[in-house]
Amino acid sequence: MNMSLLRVIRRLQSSFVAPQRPTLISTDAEKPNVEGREDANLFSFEYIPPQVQPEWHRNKLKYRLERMDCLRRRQAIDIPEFYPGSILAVTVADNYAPGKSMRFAGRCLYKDGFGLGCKFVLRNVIDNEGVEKMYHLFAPYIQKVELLRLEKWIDTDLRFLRDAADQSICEIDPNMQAESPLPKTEELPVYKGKIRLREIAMWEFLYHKQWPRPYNAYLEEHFIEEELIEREKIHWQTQSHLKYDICKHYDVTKIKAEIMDEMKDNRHRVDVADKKITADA
Amino acid sequence: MINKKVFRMFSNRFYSYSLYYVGNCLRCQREYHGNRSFLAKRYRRPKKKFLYAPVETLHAVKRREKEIDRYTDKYGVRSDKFIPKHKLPAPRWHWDYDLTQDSTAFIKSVAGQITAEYNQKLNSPFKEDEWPIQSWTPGSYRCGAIGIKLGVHPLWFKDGTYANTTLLQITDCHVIKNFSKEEFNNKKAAVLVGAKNASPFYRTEKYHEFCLEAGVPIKAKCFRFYLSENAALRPGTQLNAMHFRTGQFVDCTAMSIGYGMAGVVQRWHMAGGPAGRNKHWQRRVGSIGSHIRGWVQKGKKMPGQLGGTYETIRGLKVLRVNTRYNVIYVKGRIPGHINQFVKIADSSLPHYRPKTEEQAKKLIGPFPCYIPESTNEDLPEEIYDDSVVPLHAPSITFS
Repeated sequence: MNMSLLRVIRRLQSSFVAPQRPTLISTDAEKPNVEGREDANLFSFEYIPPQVQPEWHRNKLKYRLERMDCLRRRQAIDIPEFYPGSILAVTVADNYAPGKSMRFAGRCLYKDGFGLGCKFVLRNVIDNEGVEKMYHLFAPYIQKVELLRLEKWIDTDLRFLRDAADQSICEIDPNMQAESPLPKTEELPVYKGKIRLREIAMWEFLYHKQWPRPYNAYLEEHFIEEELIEREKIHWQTQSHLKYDICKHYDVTKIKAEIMDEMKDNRHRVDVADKKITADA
Repeated sequence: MINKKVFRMFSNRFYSYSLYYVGNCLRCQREYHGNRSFLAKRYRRPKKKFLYAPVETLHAVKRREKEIDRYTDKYGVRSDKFIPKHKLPAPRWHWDYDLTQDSTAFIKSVAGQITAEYNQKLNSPFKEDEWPIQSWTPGSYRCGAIGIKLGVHPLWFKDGTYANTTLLQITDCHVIKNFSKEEFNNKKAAVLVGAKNASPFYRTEKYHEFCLEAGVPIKAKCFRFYLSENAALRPGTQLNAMHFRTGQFVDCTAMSIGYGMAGVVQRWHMAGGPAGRNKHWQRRVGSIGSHIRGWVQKGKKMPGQLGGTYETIRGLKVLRVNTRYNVIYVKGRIPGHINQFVKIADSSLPHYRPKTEEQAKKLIGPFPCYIPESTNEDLPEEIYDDSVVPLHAPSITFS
């Protein structure tokens, strides 16, 4: 072989450095929660202010004060994260009950409201009798909120369960043991089952006229397919243009980021206000 | 050649049959339905758009009188006298119409400095002797404050019940002018209080003089309070949320939400007529009287202005006071929209008027106003009434 060639080869061999293998660092492990299941002290759905038109009807100081009060209540009591469809048990202080407190377990039908006025409704079937009870989330007469089963349904308004054929959905054993919920690093699977409704000649609540139609209710049995199609057509003709109305669009992503920044600040302020720490700290 | 007169008479009808479809209204080319004869008269002679500056002859001037836009009611009534304020032509020139941009910017910056001078005057000690602080005597009224309605949210009591409370914020509330009994009417003294700093432009000179004498920046809203001469306050004193006490009762005055010209069904909750069947009587008054009187009685419920008036609600309890943001939580609801000015005064109900000094300490705040020097420096940020559960406290338990 040619000597110059050999020298070139040797130079290349000596100067050649094998590239380092790229190390794959997964960032998911650093995040303590999945988007949508944040820490309640930082963000919760009841912290989003309602959409208000015109814009000068909104007062940001009032929203801030209300969120500070919600944070105070969350520090006093542990309110778990739940969605409509999950099973809860609530102990409430009652002056006229034996033991001065009452425990009621049930399935959450809906959760609605902003800030301190956030209400949720639990339904249970006791001795073939349906019972519903409404509670304020942040009321001080609630002593304990236990999460028995965490479920998330596609519909947020489950009032059609009142007309369900199989009432065992809402029949909840008061001595039911709590099932440990999924950790917050994993996404909750959404319940997509359809529930049959009981046979009735005249519906009090017009399910087929309601739009959007509930996903978790099996309406095809009771209403003719043509009727449902006609209702969808009427909605398309009369009200489908509303989704293109820009004024009614409520983009929550920016508000969510602002709220999360604000709540970190609020924690400090609440502690100062309640004299747990001095203002200098 | 078509005769112009004939063409104009039938032009509306011709238009609907033409290839290029044009709306009925000649002016705005829109379809109109309903009172065609009235609308047709209104728009039959559209206003000419002059491309060049017109030189008007005598005849043209006379013709233009008919084409001028006169204010018309929605019922078609035209008048020059009773035109509502917001429909009058806007003032022709701004205050800076003949100034350059630099000079307007300079004047605006100077207006900001003037407020700083005002605040320095507030702390001048020369006038303190003229306004001595007097103590409460039976039959004396004290001043109130002006707040801004922030919103509504619930508060819970110790027996488990709850009430909706309105939040009222007291910002930049200063006393502007004091009127003695003789100056005002010979029965009561009065005081002018203003809230929320505003721009010094577009205000009257008289108001500027008032504020200069008091050493106070220009305020957006003023209210007048009745006083006894006991409680005269020095112009320039600031009023806080601490002016009111938890457990006190309060009257709130505010301008209610305006719905404009409201019909009888909305204004007086009348039933109206049956829907669908009768087109002539659906949302109308019905009968306005009978042969007994022969005329319409005074106070007959008819359509008219709904809202936009000052309404008072008396006997509202103060449940919580926030000293950092100067916010009062008042039990109950108040007329007016959010960010509306509210006049807050001690309650005038006879049950809540104090007769002895002990009652005065519960039912009325500090007399004549709250003075920060005499009390401790470390004020608690949140002051709750005894019956209210503070939210950071543990849950209620009955024993």
